[in-house]
Amino acid sequence: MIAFFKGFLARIAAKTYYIGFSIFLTAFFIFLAMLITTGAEASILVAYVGEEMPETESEFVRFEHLKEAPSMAEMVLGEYDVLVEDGAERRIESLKNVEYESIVAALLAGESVDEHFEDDGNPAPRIIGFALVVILLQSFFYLDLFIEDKKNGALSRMLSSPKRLGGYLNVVYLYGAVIIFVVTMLVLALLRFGLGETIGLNFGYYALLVGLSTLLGSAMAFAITAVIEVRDNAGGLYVVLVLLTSILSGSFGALNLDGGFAERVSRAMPQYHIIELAHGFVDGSFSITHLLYVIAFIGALLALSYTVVSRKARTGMY
Amino acid sequence: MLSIIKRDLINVCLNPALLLYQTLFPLLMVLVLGLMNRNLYDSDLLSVHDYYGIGIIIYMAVNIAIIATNSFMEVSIKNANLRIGYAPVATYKIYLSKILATFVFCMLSLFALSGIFHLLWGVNFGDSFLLFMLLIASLALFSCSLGVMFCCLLKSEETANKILGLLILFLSLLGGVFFHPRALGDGFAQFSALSPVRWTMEGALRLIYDSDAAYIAPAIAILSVLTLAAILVCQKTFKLEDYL
Amino acid sequence: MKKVLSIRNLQKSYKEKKAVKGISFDVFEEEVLCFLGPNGAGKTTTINILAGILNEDHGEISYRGEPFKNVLRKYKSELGIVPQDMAIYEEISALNNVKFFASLYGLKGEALETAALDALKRVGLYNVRKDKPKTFSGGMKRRLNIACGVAHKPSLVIFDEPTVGIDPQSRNHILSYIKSLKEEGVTVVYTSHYMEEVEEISTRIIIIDYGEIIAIGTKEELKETLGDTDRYTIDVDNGRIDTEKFYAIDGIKDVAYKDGKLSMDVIRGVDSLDKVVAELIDQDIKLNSLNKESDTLERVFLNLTGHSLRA
Repeated sequence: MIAFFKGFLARIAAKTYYIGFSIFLTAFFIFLAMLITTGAEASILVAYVGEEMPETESEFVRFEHLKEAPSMAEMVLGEYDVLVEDGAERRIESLKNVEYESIVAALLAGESVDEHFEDDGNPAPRIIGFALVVILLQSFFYLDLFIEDKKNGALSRMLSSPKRLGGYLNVVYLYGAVIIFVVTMLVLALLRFGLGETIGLNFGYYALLVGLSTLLGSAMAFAITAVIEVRDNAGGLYVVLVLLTSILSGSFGALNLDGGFAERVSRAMPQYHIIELAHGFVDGSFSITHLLYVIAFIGALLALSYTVVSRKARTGMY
Repeated sequence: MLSIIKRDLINVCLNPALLLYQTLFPLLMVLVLGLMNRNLYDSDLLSVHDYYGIGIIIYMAVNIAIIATNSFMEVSIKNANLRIGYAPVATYKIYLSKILATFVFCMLSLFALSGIFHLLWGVNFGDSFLLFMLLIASLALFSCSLGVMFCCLLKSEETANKILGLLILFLSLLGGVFFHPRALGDGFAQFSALSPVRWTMEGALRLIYDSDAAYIAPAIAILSVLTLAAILVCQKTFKLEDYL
Repeated sequence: MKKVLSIRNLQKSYKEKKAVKGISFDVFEEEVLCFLGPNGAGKTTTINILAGILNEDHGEISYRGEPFKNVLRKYKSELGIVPQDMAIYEEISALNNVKFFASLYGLKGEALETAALDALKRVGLYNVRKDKPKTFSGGMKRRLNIACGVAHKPSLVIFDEPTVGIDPQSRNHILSYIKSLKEEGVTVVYTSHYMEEVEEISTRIIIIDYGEIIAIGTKEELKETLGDTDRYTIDVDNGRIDTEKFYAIDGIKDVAYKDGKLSMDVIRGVDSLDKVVAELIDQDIKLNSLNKESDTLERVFLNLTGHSLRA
């Protein structure tokens, strides 16, 4: 493994510009993803049309006083979740789920509604959710050296050497994960200490979450490139998978999980469990099940990758 | 020029991965997003498929940039594309043909997708479908130019895709294609006005739900200017030796 | 003979590496001008500049007396390129490949169809014209590569190492084709690092190495640079040889010994071989074989550059 690792280092040194640019892109996009998700959010935004804005107490429902009702397009776009028109009669309308209307109605009636919301304002789950997508997407680019080795015959040369294939594959898998891990932690440090942003969790927890994310990303990218030989096809499919699974898992925090089919699908995604771990660290409800699920998922992807590559090597595909 | 555009269009259509990506993927996205969020909307005026149908059409229009880079500098056709440069063909035709061929491919697929979305899920495209598609076309053309521009600047399809993939994701999230940007924080939502995807989304929804075409002309105008700017950058930066 | 191309002081560098260091040469009508040099000599860089796709750093190029860049469009319409890398679309048929590229030179309709079919016939791919190049062998792809470059019947064709990595049959086919172009009065510029090909087809040869022209001339003119000597290679058993003693023999110009091979340049017409053999016996060295080397371009190259062509 050390020989392969040295080989990789030598190639990285030779491609300083290319690798440096990749690392810069990784850092830039993770920084952007984390920076813009550190801000607070209101879960429900109400457009209020009336003489005087009612006084309400909720950190999850925000009212905006408007002179006239927003257009239908604005409601569809989600600029506002609920419209309240106070005239002769109070009218509460929403295009969304009836629950939105009832929450706002209850709030206006003086009832407490915060128990309907899970978010405690800690940005960590949101930061991890969005950074996770960027990490997964970036992971593919660090498999470039592996793709190159398959294409230019270097892998076949390695296979004919006395070195074990496993050692090479270990380096292929870990190389990108390590780079992205280090870059992400540095970006977090910059956000926290350089810009004074609230990141919601300590570095120890983040190290675990980011570590899992990078290992997952590398495993996913490795599996795709092991199965699909043509780089462009692998890349296209990979982006589709990451986007779909990220949306399905609620990485963007915007899913309306109702405990039914949608929730079951989300729970199958490893990203869901990473974000649940983040929630667990935030509110103290950490469950090891989530950690084990992610590790098992990574293990399954690696097993698939190693098996496919070994089989292809044995049948002379390289 | 027409023969080069025709050749580029055929090259794109003959790539099964690109074809699937531009047809099957959006269908899958609307299906999945519709399933996952089926309780999100509870109104006679709007269904979850209405929202995502429009959103995904717009997303595919901006995502075409990736296909544009592929048609321009993908490794398996790069040398053959270089051969065009040996002929007495003006240099601008080489990159312009890629932009236009990818644009045609995109619009054909989006027209087809719109029909399928309407058929399967009754997605509402409003009373001015052609105006809607004109708006989409201006976004798609901008996106194709952007993809080719990145190739000209970075001299490599892979490097261009590295940036474009994430840029498109950010623009789409800012644009509210999958959900309102507020879901990612107020900070994020503040920047949504910068996204051409947002302008398109807003213009489209106003046209469909408010019969208000006021946003269409400015959106098309700005996108057209940006398209011209991208093509100008290509003109300044593209050299045939970039294919070597 | 009329000049087609005139190149003066052409220079091109890639970052800090000088690929072409100020070369000057002419290309005359109806000749086959061959660039002979090892990999990295600067052949392909020169060709890419002549093809109009790479800009030179310095130098002047003129086409039929006019500055190249002023008549670029006209030049390109009369130029055919067969690049070193396979420049074909693998997913469309051979015929459609040729038709597409020929159409870029203004051919249309029936003329286009005829030209494409004719080109495929000439390279021996007529029977597979409807097949896709991804099903072709390497040699067939190379031939298709040629057809795409010549279908529009250019008056000047540049071939950049067109026979790399192909079978002997395909190679012979390509060389025959080039000879037929020559007979038709087409001007050919041909680059290669295979001296046998260059020997077979060339009118004139430019020997290039490390970005510089080492020599220009016909085969005969270049071989004359070898001077009036013949080279002999003698296989001997390994042992101590006193090479200085051979210089005392009349007619011996140069002697070298390495790893059991004794090579010497002997003035033509001087009968010294028997004295060489006698000296070997005197030195108690066993002679295994004695060969006279032909005057080849390989020898010319070695003589002029100090290293062999394939080094």
